[in-house]
Amino acid sequence: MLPKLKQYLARVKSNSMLDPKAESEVVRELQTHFEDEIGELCQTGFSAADAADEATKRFGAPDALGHQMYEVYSQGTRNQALLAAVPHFLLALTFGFSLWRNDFWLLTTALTVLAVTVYAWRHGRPSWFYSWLGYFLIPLFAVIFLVLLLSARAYPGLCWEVACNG
Amino acid sequence: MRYGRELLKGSTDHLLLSLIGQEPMYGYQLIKEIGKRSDGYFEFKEGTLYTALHRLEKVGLIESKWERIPNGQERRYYYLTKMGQRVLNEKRDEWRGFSAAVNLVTETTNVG
Repeated sequence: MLPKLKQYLARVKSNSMLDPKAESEVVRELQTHFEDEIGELCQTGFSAADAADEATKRFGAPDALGHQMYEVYSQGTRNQALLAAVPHFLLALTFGFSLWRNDFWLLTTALTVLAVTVYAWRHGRPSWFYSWLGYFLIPLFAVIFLVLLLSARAYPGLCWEVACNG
Repeated sequence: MRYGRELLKGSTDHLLLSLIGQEPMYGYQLIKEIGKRSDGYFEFKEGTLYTALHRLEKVGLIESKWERIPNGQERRYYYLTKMGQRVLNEKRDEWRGFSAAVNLVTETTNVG
């Protein structure tokens, strides 16, 4: 790809702050437009570099385009809002109704969170995915914390040495 | 032309839905088609076009699909949805009413 286009698309990307899937779709589409436009300009006598200059000029400021794309995609749909809210509801239900004592509920919730997180990870990490990822990481952090706590109890001297000597 | 640009701003969705409703098209094709059919009167800035297309898709008036064109490359084609067709009909009626009213007023002015 011509350096001018690469630079232009990089600025659109950095200003649009889209999730990876939407971002790759937008960039791919703009790239195909540039291909068409540059091809046509070259047929009228432009050099490739001049055609790239002209094509990017016609597109307008990349920062503005990035911001406009961000505005389009930052307005979530009802489904996205619902999907982002569900893990919070699950946690609220767990503690609100003392369901943390119910093994079946805990297992079902954990498996749901795991399944949805993996699904969303594999499907371009949409914006609603991050609340699920947050809850997915809770058990991981809990295990790390427990390991550290148990290590500190089992080897109190080691922890002290590590703290003192770095 | 400043007034032309202002008019275009207010009519962007109508123009895009109309063209896509007649035949599925991709971005570059839409720009060319609008320029050709309006005899160069409407000049869409590419950035404006793609923002409008993505906005219309987000609200469900159009949908897109990557398709192969004869030279083997892929392009993102836009299609009108059922909701898009409904909105297009409304916009058409609205425009007919508006332009008829404008004509009535301006014709009266000419006579007077």
